[in-house]
Amino acid sequence: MRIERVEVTAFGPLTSQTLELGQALTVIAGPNESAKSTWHAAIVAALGGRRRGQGKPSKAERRFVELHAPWDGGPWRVGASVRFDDGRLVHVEHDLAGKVACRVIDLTDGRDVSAEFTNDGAVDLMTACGLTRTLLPLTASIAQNDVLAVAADPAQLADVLSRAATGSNGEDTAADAIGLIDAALSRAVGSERAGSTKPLARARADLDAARSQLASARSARRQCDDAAEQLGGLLRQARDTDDELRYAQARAGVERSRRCAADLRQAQSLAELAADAHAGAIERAAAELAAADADLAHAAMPVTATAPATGGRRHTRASGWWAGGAALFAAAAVGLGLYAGGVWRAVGVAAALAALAGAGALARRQRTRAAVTTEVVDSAPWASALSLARGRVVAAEQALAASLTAAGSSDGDDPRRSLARWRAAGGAQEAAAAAAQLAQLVGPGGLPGLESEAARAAEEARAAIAGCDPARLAVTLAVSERELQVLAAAARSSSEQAQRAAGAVDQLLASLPDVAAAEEELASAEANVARLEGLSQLLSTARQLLVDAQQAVHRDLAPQLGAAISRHLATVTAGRYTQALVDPATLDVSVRGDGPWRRAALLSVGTAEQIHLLLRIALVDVLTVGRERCPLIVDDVTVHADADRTHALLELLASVAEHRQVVLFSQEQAVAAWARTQKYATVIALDPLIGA
Amino acid sequence: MLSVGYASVGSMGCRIVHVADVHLDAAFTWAGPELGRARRRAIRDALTAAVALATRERADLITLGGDIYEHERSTSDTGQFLADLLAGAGVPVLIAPGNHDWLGPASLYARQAWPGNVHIFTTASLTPVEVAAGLNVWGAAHLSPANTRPFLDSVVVDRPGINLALFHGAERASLAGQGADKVPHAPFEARQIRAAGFVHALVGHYHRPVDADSYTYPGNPEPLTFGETGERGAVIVDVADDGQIARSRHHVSVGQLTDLTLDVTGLDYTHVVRAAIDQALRGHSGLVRLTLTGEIPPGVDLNPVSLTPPPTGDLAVLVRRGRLRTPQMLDDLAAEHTVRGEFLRRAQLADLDADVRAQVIATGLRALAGERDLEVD
Repeated sequence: MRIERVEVTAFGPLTSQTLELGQALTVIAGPNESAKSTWHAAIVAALGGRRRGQGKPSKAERRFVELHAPWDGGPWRVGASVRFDDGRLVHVEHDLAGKVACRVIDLTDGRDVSAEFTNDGAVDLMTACGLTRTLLPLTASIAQNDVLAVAADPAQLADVLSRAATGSNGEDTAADAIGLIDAALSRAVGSERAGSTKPLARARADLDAARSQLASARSARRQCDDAAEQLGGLLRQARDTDDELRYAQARAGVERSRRCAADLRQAQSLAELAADAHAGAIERAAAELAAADADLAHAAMPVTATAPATGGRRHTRASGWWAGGAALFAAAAVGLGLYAGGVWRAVGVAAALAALAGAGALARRQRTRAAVTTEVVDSAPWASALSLARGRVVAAEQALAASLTAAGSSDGDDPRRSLARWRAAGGAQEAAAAAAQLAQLVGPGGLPGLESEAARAAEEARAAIAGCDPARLAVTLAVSERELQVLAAAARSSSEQAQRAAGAVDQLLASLPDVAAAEEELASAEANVARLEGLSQLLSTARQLLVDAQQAVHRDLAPQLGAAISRHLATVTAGRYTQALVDPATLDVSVRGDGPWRRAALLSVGTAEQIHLLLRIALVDVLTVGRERCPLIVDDVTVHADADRTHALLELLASVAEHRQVVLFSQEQAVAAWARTQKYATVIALDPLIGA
Repeated sequence: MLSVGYASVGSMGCRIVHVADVHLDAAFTWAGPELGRARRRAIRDALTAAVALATRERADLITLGGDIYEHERSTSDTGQFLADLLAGAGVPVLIAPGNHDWLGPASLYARQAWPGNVHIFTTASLTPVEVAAGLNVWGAAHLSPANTRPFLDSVVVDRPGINLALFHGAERASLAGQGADKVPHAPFEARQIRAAGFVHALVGHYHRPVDADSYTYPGNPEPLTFGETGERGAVIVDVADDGQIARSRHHVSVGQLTDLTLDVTGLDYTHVVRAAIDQALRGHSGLVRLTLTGEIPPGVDLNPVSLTPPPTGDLAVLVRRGRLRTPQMLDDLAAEHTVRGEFLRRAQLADLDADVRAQVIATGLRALAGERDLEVD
């Protein structure tokens, strides 16, 4: 690459000026205040332009604006015509203020080829050389300030080298970049040690908390589900127990209904038996006969001489009394039974009263007979009464015979014998026993009570079996009342247990934590940890790559630079030093002649300046290998050198100019004079700026 | 046979509003807790809108085809919300529990006190409910979260009149269109519907809506994730006296989830990227997920957090990094004989995913440029 022409529209103190540069070495000479440094900056700006990046401008950028914005207004523009090594000629223009109207035009065909040279948003022709506008001041552009800086602190040689080798913004080194990554790792990720308050440790603690929170929420959910599951079991158990009770109660109801019905049937049968009409008629007839006999006996007493009673007769009479009394009392009992039965109440009352009356009369008669056995009475009124009594006896005997006949118990002759046989057969006792059994069966409620009870039991049974499965009911065993009570207690207990469990489940449900929110918290915490781990990995990877790149470049550059410096070292140091060495780790430059290695930083100012120039030339050689040859733009590098060293430096630059364009600014007339002796040198004389 | 008994279906047929896959209480792990809560509120609002639709359109019946809520995340508050909402519907509501809201002892269906107009199917086999004279809806429930047997395999309609099926299941032929992770719960084939004697099946399970001849999947009424397509919502199903079905879909969602992609290639500065994001978001509302793709411009801050615009009243934005790659222009820089060039060369050769590589390069370049903010993830 070769700069043919530089045009300034307005740049610092310069306005509308042009420089035509030579192909090899161009010496631009002028006294102080002739704008040599301004032209130097304008050439650099024409090659690299200004970046269009956002954000706060760097220190160098601010300094550039301060120094080189047009002093007297006008469009802050520079341009240059540049010919590439392949012969292509382009024209580059830079609007340094707006940084928009920057472009590269291929002068052979008029095409805008800016895109080929874009760097950081603006045209940068240095990219064609493998450099950038930020690397140019560290390599091919050697300003007077650089020389002065190295002169003031030779240790900056390594710094310059390091910044150039880094190849970024020209201000920071790879070590600086690694430091920034370390700081970011510490700030944004942090240590993972326990107790750390840095982001990753906090994020992991948050993750643990979120996991715990979700586990707790899910556990509460499971607990609720489990409780509900148990509740389901309890409800089933309660339902089963209740069913068992219900069927047992239904079975018991059915059984009770059956029993009541059977009792009713038996009572009704007993009532019929006790209320037998024949038995009543016979007994009534027998009672009437007994009364008639007594009446007759009473009527016959005044006329009848009764023989003294023998033991046997007495016994017979006594037996007859007891038998007659028993029969009458039995009849009374039947009557009472019928009374208690309700249905036959009227009959019963009559029967009982008649029987009791009969029994009383018989007793009286026995007593009277005993008292009058020895009396003899005979009179006409008595005869009439006796006749009536006899008639009553006959009538009674006939009635008794008729009743016995109706009952099928007559032998056809003597009703008294038939009565005796009927009684011996137990006819009266059967009714009495039935009445007694009935009384016991029906209880105080009587037969109607039993009927009501049976109806109620039937109704209850119907209600109890409603909804029951007939097949299951059929196989349900009858249980005792005690067992029924046990079943009822079990059903009650099951129901209460299920109700308590239902309450507990409802309480658990009401207090369920927000599982979805806990899941989201966890996902968020996981994402945060993943983000920080990713960032850690990212920063660590970038750091490692930078460290490796730095080491590799330094390792690669160091010997090349050492060799490049060594090539011209003897020339520029008048043979005092012949070898140079660049430390790959620190990029410190050391030199030696016949003696030991000396750090360049510790050498004289003049030597340091010379080595600095050699180092810059070496950097340009090394960093642009295989690319366009980058012009070397040098500002007053001989200012501190004596005549011999100046000559040596000029010879060095002349040799460089054999394969690379060199533009040398100098205020020394000797330099201009030397240039005029060189075959391929162009000399441009600058006049002092008027009023500058 | 059960009978709802108070459906007032006139001679003009029956109008049903069918909804499914509401997923109340769903978790939105991609959204974070705050947006997640907003999403759950939106789901409730969508179901409320569906019920309002039934009232507005004078529907005779509401059918809910399962997955109305998610059991494992449900709360009693959700049960009360549902009960109150459905009580106010003014028409019978039939619910066929699905695999997410399966009917169990702890489910809201079992624990919540439901209003009289709500009938929940509780059996694993289809059982009929007479919703009006001559119109039966046969429904069934999932009784566990998985392994529910197909509902249509063993059912034969034995009722005269018009018979509809309501259940939560996966129609086999439509499964492929529902995404690879869709599980075929209670599967069935379309032909089984008519073969069993149903004129139509109102179903749930598929979030992507399907209007087939013999069945209808309404789809989830409120978006559950980004990228959902199809006209989801509530479906009004008009059943004519002769059993003919007419359907119309109604949008009931209250919020939108929009997926946008922004190619940042060539956007050389962070402020330019921000301007492009603002431009991309213009005219959108609801929740927008913006994915950045393309070439990462070196030196541009693509940190999603710093690029996410603050939420406004009707717009919330999630910015994320998609498939990003290293810009071509870095090839020139990689040719440098400098640490930067070497770094780029090594990064390009490193065994890294393209996205990670792009981020590593961006990080390294920012560090080399002296940038302190390196949290480029």
